[in-house]
Amino acid sequence: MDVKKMSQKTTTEPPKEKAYRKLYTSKLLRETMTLHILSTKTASQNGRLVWVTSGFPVEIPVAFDTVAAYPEQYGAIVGSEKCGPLLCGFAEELGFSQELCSYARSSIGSVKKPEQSPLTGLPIPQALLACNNICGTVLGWYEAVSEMTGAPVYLVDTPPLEGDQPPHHLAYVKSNLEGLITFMSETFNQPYDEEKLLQVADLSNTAVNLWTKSLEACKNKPSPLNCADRFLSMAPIVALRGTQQAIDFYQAFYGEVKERVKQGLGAIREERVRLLWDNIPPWFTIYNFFNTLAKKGVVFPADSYTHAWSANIPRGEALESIAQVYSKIWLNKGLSAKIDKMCNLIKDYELDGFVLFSVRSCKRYSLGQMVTKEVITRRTGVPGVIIEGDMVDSQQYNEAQAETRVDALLEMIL
Amino acid sequence: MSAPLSYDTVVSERRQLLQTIITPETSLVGYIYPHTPLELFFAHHLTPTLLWADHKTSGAYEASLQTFCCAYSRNLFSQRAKEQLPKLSAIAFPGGTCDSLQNLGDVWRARFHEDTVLRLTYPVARDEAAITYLTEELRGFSNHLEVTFGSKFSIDKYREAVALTAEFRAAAQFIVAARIFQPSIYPYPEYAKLIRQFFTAPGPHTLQQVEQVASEVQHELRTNQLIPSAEALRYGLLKGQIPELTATPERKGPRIVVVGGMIDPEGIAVLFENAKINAEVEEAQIVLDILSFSFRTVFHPPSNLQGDPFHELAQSIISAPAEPTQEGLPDRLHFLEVIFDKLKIDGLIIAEHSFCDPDQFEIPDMLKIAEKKKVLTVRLPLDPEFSDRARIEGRLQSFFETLSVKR
Repeated sequence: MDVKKMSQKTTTEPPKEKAYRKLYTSKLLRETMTLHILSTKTASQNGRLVWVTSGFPVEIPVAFDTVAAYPEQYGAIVGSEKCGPLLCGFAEELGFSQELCSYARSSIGSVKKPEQSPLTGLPIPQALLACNNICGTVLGWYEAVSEMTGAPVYLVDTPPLEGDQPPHHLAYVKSNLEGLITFMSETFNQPYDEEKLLQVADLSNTAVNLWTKSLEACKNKPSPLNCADRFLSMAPIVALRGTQQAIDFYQAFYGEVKERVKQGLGAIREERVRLLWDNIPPWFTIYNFFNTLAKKGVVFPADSYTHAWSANIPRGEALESIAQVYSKIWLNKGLSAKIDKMCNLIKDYELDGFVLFSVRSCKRYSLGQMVTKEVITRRTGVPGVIIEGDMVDSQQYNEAQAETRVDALLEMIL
Repeated sequence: MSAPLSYDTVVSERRQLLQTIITPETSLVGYIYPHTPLELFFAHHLTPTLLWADHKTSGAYEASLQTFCCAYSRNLFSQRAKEQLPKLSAIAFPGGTCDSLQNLGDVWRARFHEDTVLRLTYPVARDEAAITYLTEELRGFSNHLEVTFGSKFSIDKYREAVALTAEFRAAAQFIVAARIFQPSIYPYPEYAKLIRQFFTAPGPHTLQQVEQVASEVQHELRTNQLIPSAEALRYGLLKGQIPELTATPERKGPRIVVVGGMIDPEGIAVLFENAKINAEVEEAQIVLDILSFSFRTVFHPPSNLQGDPFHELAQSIISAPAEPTQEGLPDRLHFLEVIFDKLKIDGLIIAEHSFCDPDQFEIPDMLKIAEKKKVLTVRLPLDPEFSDRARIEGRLQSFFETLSVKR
């Protein structure tokens, strides 16, 4: 096509309206996270950077004036930048099996070859803080990084719960947190200040409440947010919980969500089918996946993942409150708790079906989905489908197969 | 030249052995995790049996578990789905050890409603707080057993069981230490069989077999004046500290260590012996394995009979050699380095179950240490079905051939 014809075409045809609406707060999100990334670099230079897992009680390191970087979030960046196979390959060259978690492999790969990694990798930490309330993999992963960087590992051990938390479980987790306090005091040469921790917890609660209200606004029809919106906007609730920056962002974000609801604007232009999403998304195709479905009128008003950051730390004895909240992350409560939660989401958000993403990397999240699918359909009456792949390693994902399966689900619903 | 070992025979012997201990009164509880406290089951008049993988059972898990579930879990599930497990009164899953087994327990409950599924959750940490936590988990587990089976905790039965496991471990530990000095004194496949027999059917009969072998080994060592050296080594291994050897270990051929997690030692023995025959290196010997179902459970310190049983059991479990599911990678790596240095090791076999995260995370660091110590290594990616057996045996043969050249 020559330039003249192209120009004519642009002037004669109005630009085609996209099937989804972009959030205007996405600019603020980008700025917030850019500043955070810069702050991690400075913190590393100043000897005050910690790496933490997504379910870690980050309020404690924040209260010690350290900055937290999230390797899982970095994994999402690696995935979005479509360089998962490259970085995972660096880890495999070191002997790490291709069967291991791709967040772990890409993180290890980026430590090995930062110059070939997005943002030149996460800055080198002074401590590695892991909590196994999300999975058991974090221990092996952080110990492997520790061998590479020399940064010490502290594990907050939260054994999986069945039912209510017994007193000895709470006492054990609390003792782990007390150990963490000692570890942080010694590593960063700073005394523990409980009042400060309570203030950080308050900031954390404020951000969590704004985030939760934003998620719950998706009960409206049309839903003001789609899955990709939530997965991208959750970055500050993961990485900046306990800081004013997170509150500033979520105030603006919730404002936009409320405005959308008020005006009856949906995340997608024509909402026909409302689905539940389960698991981490395929970061390398997140826009493509959800926006392709948006064109078919499919929106995901709820998911099992972004709702994970919704618990408030009650006022009271700080460490005990934190021990309670972080032990009860639903991934730490077994399959039946997860199924209950998903059934409730389907009911509360009036969803027509569900998509379970079987993520090869994430055993804790994914093993059990076959049973989950049957039980949810039996209990709620809505159909579901399982699609297979990975969140970072695009070599494990077959787009055509995923589309075919979701199309089959839509045929059942429409 | 010896005849090839058959894994079919191994599996069939296990089944036969189990039949010998089952009576109409026996309440058999299957367990999976190597640190499961057998004594607690005995104390409730139950008989624990370790559920081994079965290489002939596969392919019945697909409707319930994805392929990336660990190979051991898949195999157990398939055995249950095909009704090939022994008749069990209950099955005890571990909690807090790895994600596959954690979720397997949940899926099992959902799929096999008629099964009594128990769960004992372990801490990942290994400190005093972890012992306190596990003490209460064990107490709660004991209460649960009482409610489920209507049989109270019997202190007499508990003491008998502590004596049984302590005597078994002492005898097995001595055999391990003796084999490090003189691997030819008792072949590895025979040792692996002894271990299997005890954990399949723990009782006086299988204990007697281990004790008899230990006695014969002791007699042989006495001739060579090696008993004090073997005892010192056994004591050191129990403490996780290997002393300087006070006698020169036998070196008829390459001295090999096997590391791995919940891998069947007899399966390793079959692969090893057959590959040796094919490579014509009969003198190569496994002098030590650091596998879950032998070394890590054999070297449990005994429970003290004087204190609170649950606390003593917890202390014993937490003080046992750590699994890769627990904290302590630097300690485990250091231990391996010391083994290389002090036990005159030539080769390292790394056995890794397919999709076993805890094991797979540690392998690269083990490789680094082996390289530093100039110990030749081979990685064996395994599943219980040996679905890639020809390639695995090929790798082992190449390993033996390289070891021979190196020597």
